[in-house]
Amino acid sequence: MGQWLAVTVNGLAFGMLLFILASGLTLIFGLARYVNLAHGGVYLFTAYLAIETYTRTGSYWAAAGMALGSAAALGALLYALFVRGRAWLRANPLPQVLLSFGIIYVISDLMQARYHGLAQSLPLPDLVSGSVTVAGATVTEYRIVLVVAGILVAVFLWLLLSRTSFGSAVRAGVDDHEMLSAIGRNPELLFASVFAIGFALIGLSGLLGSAFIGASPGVEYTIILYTLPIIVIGGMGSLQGAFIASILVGIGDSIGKAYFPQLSLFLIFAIVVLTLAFRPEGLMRNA
Amino acid sequence: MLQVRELRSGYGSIEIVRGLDLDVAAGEVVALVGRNGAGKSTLVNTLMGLLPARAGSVELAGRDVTKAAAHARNGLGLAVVPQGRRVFGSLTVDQTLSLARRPRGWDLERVASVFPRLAERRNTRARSLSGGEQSALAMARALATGPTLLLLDEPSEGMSPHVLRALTKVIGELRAEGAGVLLVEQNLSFALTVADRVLVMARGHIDVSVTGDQARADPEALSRHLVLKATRDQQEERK
Ligand SMILES: Nc1ncnc2c1ncn2[C@@H]1O[C@H](COP(=O)(O)OP(=O)(O)OP(=O)(O)O)[C@@H](O)[C@H]1O
Ligand SMILES: [Mg+2]
Repeated sequence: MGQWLAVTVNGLAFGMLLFILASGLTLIFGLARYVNLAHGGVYLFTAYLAIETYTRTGSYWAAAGMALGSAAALGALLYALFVRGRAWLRANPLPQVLLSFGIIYVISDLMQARYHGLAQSLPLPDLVSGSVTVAGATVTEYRIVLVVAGILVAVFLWLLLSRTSFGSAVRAGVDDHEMLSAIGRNPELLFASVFAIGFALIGLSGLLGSAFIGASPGVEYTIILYTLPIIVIGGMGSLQGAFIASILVGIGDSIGKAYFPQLSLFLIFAIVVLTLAFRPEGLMRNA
Repeated sequence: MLQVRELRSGYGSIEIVRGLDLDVAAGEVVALVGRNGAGKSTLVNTLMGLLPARAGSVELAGRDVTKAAAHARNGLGLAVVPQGRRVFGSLTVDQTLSLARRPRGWDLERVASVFPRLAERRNTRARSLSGGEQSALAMARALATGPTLLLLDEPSEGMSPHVLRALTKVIGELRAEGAGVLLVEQNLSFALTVADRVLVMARGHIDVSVTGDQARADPEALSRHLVLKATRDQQEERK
């Protein structure tokens, strides 16, 4: 019993970290119809940046500000440089994917040059560095932080999209961006904000993940390996789908690692195959 | 109010609007008719800035807006009710109207005074509204931006006689406030009840212009003209 609970909570924690990553992608794909897969690179960049900022300043707030701020700026920059007004790129997912990988290569090399391929991680704040034992299961406090953070992000996005005028504008832009423009809203500005918010979420995962899975060469591809199944299982563009799929993938991975270590990735891709066979558009159709 | 000179636009290698001149004065309702495919919607979309003008000029309230984006034109008082309504399916009536609303525009109360049904359905998503309600919402959305020049592209399509009367009332109110209206309409009898001037579009430009009174005095002449034009155009295309 205790071990099962621990395995589940551990999986949930990893799942929520993946959800924060996937929510960034989902937001950008769902609202701007743009396939951004540069998130692995952005994760690596913001994780290293958070660690270095903390090392230099000793402030977690500074680390958070740098990770989220630089990611948001990167998102807006990417939009301004490559997406805005480029009808061809906007209409074709393949070059979007290729561009994403180009960005990852650039970031990987830059990180290699600056951090010499050293694996680093952010030291945990004292407040959450312990562990708790409930019903015979011992779980580190930081995993609980991750679960709470994932839930907060889900609630935040839901409120943002359904309860604010920014959310209305974004949904209107998805429905018909020409008509949005015809009632006086600048759709370009809106899509740039969506890119900034989506990237900021990836930056948040870099910050949170830097104290969990850390920053090291290759982690950018691990991230992609774990988030792609989420996007496929959840259904591209669906935040609810991404949330449920993240939990499935996180717990699936955790169970796999605990009980049949050689098969842990197999388990995840088995879920992908089953989804594709029975619900090819994902668990949630674009919601 | 609106001044269009030598306007050209189209799709790819096909030019649809070919050197068109058009004026709409403040407080004037101009009806634009023409056969299917004459290019009326292409003109409306070009005027709104949804389709780029290839040549010529568009002036709005004395400002050159030929190159301006749609949202900038809307800021200068131009609004559109597009063909096919194009409401925001995932937004409720309330959300649509508050998104579109400018201080000088219509609020829900004023919208309710002409389209009471919309107020009753204020918390319904647009995609769940009936066709007539969606038409009313598309109207209300444009009015919420406070237009001084309103482009209407076949607004009567699919409207019940009841909603059509409300539309007539709205056009009357706009005229009384000194706003201009360009009304693209297939329903000739409806167009004639509200128009100060009637234009016929053919071969990419304005072919005929008559006053509303002339058209009302002899509506047969206008429809004959439309039919005649249509057959002549088809003959020309065949050559
Ligand atoms: N997006 C488009 N791409 C290419 N051609 C188009 C496009 N939209 C319209 N056309 C063509 O342009 C011509 C004019 O179309 P338009 O919709 O402007 O006519 P209309 O006068 O509004 O017709 P209707 O009365 O049926 O609404 C038609 O031949 C149409 O097939
Ligand atoms: Mg048309």
